[in-house]
Amino acid sequence: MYQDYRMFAISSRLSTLKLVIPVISPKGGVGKSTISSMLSLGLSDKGIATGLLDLDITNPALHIILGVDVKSIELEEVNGIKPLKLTENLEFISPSFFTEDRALPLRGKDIVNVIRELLAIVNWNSIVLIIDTPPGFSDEVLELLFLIYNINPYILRPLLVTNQSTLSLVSIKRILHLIRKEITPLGIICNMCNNDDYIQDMSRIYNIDNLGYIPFINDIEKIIGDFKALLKYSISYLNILINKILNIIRFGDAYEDIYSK
Amino acid sequence: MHEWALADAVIKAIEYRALEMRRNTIGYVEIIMGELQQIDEEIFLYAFNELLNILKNEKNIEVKEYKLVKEGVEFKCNRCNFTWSLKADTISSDTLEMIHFIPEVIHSFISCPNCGSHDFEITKGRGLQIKIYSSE
Repeated sequence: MYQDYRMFAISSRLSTLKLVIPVISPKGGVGKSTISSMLSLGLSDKGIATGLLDLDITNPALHIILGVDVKSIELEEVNGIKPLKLTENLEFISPSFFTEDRALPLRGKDIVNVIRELLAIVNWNSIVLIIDTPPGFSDEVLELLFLIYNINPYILRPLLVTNQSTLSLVSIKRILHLIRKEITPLGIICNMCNNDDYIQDMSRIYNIDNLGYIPFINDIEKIIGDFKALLKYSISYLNILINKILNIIRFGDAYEDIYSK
Repeated sequence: MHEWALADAVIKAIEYRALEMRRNTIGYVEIIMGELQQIDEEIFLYAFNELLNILKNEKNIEVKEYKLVKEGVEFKCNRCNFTWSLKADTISSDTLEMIHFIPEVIHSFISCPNCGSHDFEITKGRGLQIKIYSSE
């Protein structure tokens, strides 16, 4: 019988992680990539060894947000591929590192193969892995949830991102119906919102943490490509989210959350 | 270095299968080496044999026989159904290295020689595959 040997490599590569946070929203344009970038910068700034993986396989964008010139990167091989060290505590991998920033047109099974290869060869040195996902609830998200859940369901804590649009809020409700019984989300955050009114009801009804809001950034284009500016702007809005992650890492309340469900 | 990591993952798969079947002996393992991934056969086999010995000596799990089968690359265009194979000398060494790590990135670099579409399938020879036959 065929055996996918990569599953064993993936299990070994991810065994040191205490928390894997897929940043998810079925609706496009709510700012998943921006939130992923902000969160990884904020956590690493607190001294947490943080990994950031762009899983938007066919159209990755994190390297643009973070100002990484992929054509100048030479990946180092040490027992697999070492991620790019962006700051002292932040390492980063993007599919664009392997494509010279070209488009990567792929169908379903090829996307699954790329995800398995990436997770099997990258040698993370982090304890938290933030994973930016594309919109929808298809190959990338399903495969990611499948892999991490099978390795260790307790480390899997998706962060749900919405904006104030009804379309986005309805999409989040749909995804909660799908995953809530087996996966405990880290919580929900409202991006491009002036307050957290839009997610208060959802947080209460679905019993998931309200992790606050981030206002619309008028000058977003000016800080794209400048990760220090992005960190400076966002840090004050991410306190609730970052403190929750710090508590999970330090005190392991991921386990308590799951058992008290 | 990647070949050692590949061999290590293959050995872990064999060990898992043996434990799953509650056997100390695996009858036959077929290693299919798709040429697109350009795995260095010599390094891979050296690593594989070293790790097989460790598996036998430390975990008492033995593979009776294995065979390495090379598979040539074949692509099929989803738009016009044209099939073709890889001409490695038309691709730069930097690109080949990227394909070595993630074979699917070939979609960024080549297109169908007949219609120019990048929407094609890798129908043969993608990379490493293993078949484990537990019967002795």
